[in-house]
Amino acid sequence: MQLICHDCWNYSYFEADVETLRELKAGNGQLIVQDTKFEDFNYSESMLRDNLNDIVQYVIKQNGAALIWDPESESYQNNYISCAKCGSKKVTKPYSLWHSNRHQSLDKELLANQKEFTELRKEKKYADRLPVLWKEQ
Amino acid sequence: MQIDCLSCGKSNEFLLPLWVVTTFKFNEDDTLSILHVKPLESLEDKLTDHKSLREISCKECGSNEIDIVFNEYENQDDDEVSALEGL
Repeated sequence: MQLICHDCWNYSYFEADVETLRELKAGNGQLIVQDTKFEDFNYSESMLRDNLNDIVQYVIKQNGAALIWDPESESYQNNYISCAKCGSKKVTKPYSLWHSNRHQSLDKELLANQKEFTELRKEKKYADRLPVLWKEQ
Repeated sequence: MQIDCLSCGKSNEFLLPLWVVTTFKFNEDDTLSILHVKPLESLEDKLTDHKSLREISCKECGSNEIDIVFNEYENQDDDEVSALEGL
C-alpha cells in the first residue's frame, strides 16, 4: 500500500495530470496527430510513463510538501494525485501525520479540551495544600 | 493546413506538449499500470490560440519559431485560382 484516500479508503486506483508529447505532421492540406518516435523508440509513451512515475514517487517521498491546506473543507489536499473512485483530493501515504480526517482547528481543539484544562488548573491551585480532616462541630 | 519552421525550413514534423489525465493503479508488487488516458486540452484550441504557438517546436531543429497557415490557398493570385478552377 503506497497511497490511500481518506474519504473512501481506496488504496489502488488514482488519477494524476501528466504532460505528454504529440507529433504534428502537416502537408497536402492534412494534419496528422500521432505519437512521436525517434528511430522506432516511442518517446510519447515513454514520457507519459516517466512523468507519471515521477509524480507518484515525488508524492510518496515528499508527502507533506505535496499537500495544500484547503480552508473550506478544513483539510489537507493533494495537489497532484486524486482518488479515481470518489474524486477526493485527500490522498496521502498511509499512517501519515497529515491525516486529514484527524485534523482540528485550534479553536475546536481548545474548546474540546476546555474541561481538562479546568481540571488541571484546579489541581495546580490546591496542589500546595495538604488534605485537611473533617472536623466535628 | 501548413506548418513551417522559420528556423530550418526543412521539417514538416512538429512537437506539441499536451496535458492528459491518467488513471492508474498500484499493482501488488508496487508497480504502476495505466488504465486510461484522457486529454485535458483541446488540440484545436492550442493550434488556434496564439499564446500556445510558442509551445510547438520543430522536431528537426527544436526551434519554437514556427508559422501556421490554416488555408494555404487563401493568398493565391487570381491567376493561380482560376488556373486551379480550370483544372
